[in-house]
Amino acid sequence: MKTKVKELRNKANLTQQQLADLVYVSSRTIISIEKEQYNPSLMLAYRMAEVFGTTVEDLCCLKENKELEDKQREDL
Amino acid sequence: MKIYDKKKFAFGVMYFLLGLGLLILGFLKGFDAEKIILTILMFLIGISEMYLSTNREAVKQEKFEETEERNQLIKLTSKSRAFDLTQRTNFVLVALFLIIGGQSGDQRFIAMGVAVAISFSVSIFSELFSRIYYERHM
Repeated sequence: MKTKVKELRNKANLTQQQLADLVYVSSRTIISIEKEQYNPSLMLAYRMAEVFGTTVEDLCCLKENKELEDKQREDL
Repeated sequence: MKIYDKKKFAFGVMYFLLGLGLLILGFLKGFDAEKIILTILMFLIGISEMYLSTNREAVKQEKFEETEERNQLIKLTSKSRAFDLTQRTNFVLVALFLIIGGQSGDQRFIAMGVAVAISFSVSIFSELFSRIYYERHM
């Protein structure tokens, strides 16, 4: 799933380890989220959104991802 | 000294006692290379487990690694894949043993086929019951 984690983390001048410590996960989890290999849990998404002062909807590009999913469903 | 992880400490004590048992057995019946390596390994594992169980930071880090959400997903996925692979291997082995047994008439192959078939059916039933349980509780 596409997210804005990398973009917002760079804007906030945080390293992957610093963000990981703030949201109680390992830096590998942050790396995987940024590589779009792992979808964060709702609670983790909320914690990250709180760190960046944004909403889960914005952080996880929910509108965009929903449209993409709808398109994939139509193609089935 | 405070014990932060009692389970880990108990494992450490168990390994240490096993090492001690092997050492006593070695003195009574004599040592060979295999026994010496095993005894040293048991002592090392036992002592390191006991030490780690009393180290607050190490226990905290281990608990963190255990409960971390991506690690939990990786553990679940890898266990599920391993189970799938084992189930498929069992199925192939059952078919193979029964075919060879049937063709050659050797009862040992049939017996091996039946033994693997029991393990295969246990895996099928455990999967079925787990599915029923989680259908109701999730």
